[in-house]
Amino acid sequence: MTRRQIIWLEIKKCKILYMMIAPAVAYYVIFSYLPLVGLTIAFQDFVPGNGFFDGPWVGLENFNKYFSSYYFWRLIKNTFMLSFWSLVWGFPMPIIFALLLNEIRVEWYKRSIQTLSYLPHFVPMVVVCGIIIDATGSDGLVNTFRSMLGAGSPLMFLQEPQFFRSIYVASGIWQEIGWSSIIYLAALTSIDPTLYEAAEVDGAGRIRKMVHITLPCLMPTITVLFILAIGGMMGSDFEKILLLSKPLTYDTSDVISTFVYRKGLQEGDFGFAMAVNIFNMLINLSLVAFANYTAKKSSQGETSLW
Amino acid sequence: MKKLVSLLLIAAFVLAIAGCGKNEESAELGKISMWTWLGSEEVWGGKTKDIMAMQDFAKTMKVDLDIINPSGDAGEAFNLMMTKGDKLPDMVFYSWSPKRVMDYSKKQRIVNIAPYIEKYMPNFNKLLQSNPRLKAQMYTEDGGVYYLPWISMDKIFYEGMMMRGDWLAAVNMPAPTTVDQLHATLLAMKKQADAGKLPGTGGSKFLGFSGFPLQFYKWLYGFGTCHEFQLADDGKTVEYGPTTDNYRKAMVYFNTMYKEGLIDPDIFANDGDTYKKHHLANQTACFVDNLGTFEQIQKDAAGLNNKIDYVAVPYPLYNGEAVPREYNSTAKRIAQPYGFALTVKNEQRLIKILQVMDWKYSAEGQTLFNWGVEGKTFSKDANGAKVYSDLIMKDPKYAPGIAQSKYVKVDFTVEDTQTVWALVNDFGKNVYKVWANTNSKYAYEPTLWYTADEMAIMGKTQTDINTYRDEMRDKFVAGKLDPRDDAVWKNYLETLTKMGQGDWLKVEQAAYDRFTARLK
Repeated sequence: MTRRQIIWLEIKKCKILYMMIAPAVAYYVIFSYLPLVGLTIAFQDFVPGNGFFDGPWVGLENFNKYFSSYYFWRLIKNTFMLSFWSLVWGFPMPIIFALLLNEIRVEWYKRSIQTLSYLPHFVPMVVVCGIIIDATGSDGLVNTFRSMLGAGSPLMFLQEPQFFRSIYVASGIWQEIGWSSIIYLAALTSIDPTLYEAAEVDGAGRIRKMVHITLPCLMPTITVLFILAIGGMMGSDFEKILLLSKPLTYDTSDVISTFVYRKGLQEGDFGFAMAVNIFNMLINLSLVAFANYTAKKSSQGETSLW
Repeated sequence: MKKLVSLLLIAAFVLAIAGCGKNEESAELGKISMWTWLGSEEVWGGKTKDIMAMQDFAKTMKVDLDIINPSGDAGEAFNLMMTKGDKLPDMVFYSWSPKRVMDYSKKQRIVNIAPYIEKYMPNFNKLLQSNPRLKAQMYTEDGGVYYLPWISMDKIFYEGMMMRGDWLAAVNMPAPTTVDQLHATLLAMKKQADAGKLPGTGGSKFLGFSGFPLQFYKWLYGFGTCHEFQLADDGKTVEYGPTTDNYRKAMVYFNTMYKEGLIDPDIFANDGDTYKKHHLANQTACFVDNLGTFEQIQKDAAGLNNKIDYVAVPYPLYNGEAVPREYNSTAKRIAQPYGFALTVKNEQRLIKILQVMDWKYSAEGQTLFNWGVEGKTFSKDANGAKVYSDLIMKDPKYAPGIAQSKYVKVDFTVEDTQTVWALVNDFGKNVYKVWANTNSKYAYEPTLWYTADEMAIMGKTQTDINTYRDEMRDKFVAGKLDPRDDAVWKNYLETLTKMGQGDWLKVEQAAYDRFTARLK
């Protein structure tokens, strides 16, 4: 039999399986791989109406425009810092939440807490930002509380650059803590109960069991999610930042995506936007590769994405 | 053999596609196809073809009009249609900015109609010849005309300031006409409010001047500046508002007001709900917006048993001049950047369509598209002025502004400003009268043509400069940086220069000079 015949036989044998995967493959080819051709517009002076290969070609000019921008370093720094603090504070929270939830023994109490914690995830971003703007306004919840405690003039939280990152990170945690903990809760159910029983026989208390059984069993999940989170470092929650940032807080709140949005809106510069995207993608890719490499080395090749 | 068959099949298929792609344009008029986005007709669930004026237009001209509305997002549909480029409708109504005109004329999607205007479009030609500004705005620098515009000869004022009339009465002052008077008025109001004597305030905090930042900053006009490009007092030098001394004075003024508590500290929130809450709680004395917004707030307040009384405030006078200055460049726009571009390559057909479309600019055409049919949708009052009939003014379901779009289509012709006035009540007419009294001589020219090199310079500098301008403007007003400090101001100007503000200014000056040369 030739190689070709073997492959054909193989396909025939599992035709149902191949048929099942076909839509997914088609989806990724059509919506994820074919559009990659569009990357060419980063090297063109693109006008809508042109095809992807119509030119005129400008080489790296779009990239130069980005790198030579007065705000280049501020944008990189702000984007990075927002993601960094989101990761530092936001990443452990769902884990801690899941661990604590796991310890609750009263079933109905546990379930209602869990359901309540999902809720903010389903609130549209515009509404969340409306709540934030309202609560931090001159006569909002926070300032009313402050004046009850005797503070003098109201603090305009969304107008002070030093508060922006905290507001962004804190509201992010509030919104996502329940939702992100689902995957850890799922991982928790797969832990072999005999491990706990053995530990109990050895005289381990709750804390001990948590530290020495639950956490190590969660580690592979945590590592993989961490690597994925690192991959999103140069992205940021565009919608939220756009709604919350004001010129007064640009010092900390103006990020790559909002800047590109303004530029795109004003000048319709598609080539530029694509160049920025490619740049971000390359940084993200190298960050993921680095995180993956480190994870692989430190776990002796047990947990990594590839 | 099998291969040959499949090859033949493929060839046939390709030919079939190519055949479809060919534009079947014939010199015979037949059906005229017209593509346009949906306007207010969307509100009452109609299509553009359902508008009475469109049907009457087709009947009068004895043509078969095929009016196409895109389903879904108009911008997306437009891009897709123009990218594909085959089977284009004869005419495309869209936003034709100079850049878009240049892009699509270069790709030969839209045709130059300039050679036919004089001979085949007498009505449009008459308008162009009698209005040098219209002509300068319509013609590209190499003498082309690429679309049939929506024309608005008279300036229409949609936005302006309103102030609490009951509070003005309480402090016994008239509506302010200068920036200093506004300052004094707000100070007096705050004093009364702090003493608990301002009607309606009932202990809530006085916030003064409020609203969206972009509307708020219209008050820069009172200092003879704006936050865009403008014309200097000589009327021909282009200057960048935010670098002028007048702008600095304005920043000092706003900062003083901010410190004195006369400007809503939430002004930078850019959040309509926040402002509305303040208006309804009787905390704000004045803001800039459109008439509909003020009326809506009055209505909402009435629902809360709160009577809010607004008085129109004219734009502030600058430097003792008799008429307020207006720096909004759209005030100078006669040829609106919206209209029908033609895609027809067959000259005979093109000419015939242009002749049909020319009627829109005739006296009868203008009446039909602005007012509809006499005795049905409009009548003349005792002074001979046109007024809409009850069909529009007393529609059982829709407000006059929406009901109007069932019958007429003002943006397809020369808009008669009277239609705007006819839709509002006496109070509204009065408000428009106060707001419309401005002098737009120093406003920048809205329609300029740039060369590719010039656009490259703008592309490099624009966003940086705008970002910095907005950031610094708000910092000055909020007092994060002091505009009175010479070192701060010097640093501000130097940073703008570093960002290439000077290069951008040169580009604008050059483009503007070319425009004025064509204006002569």
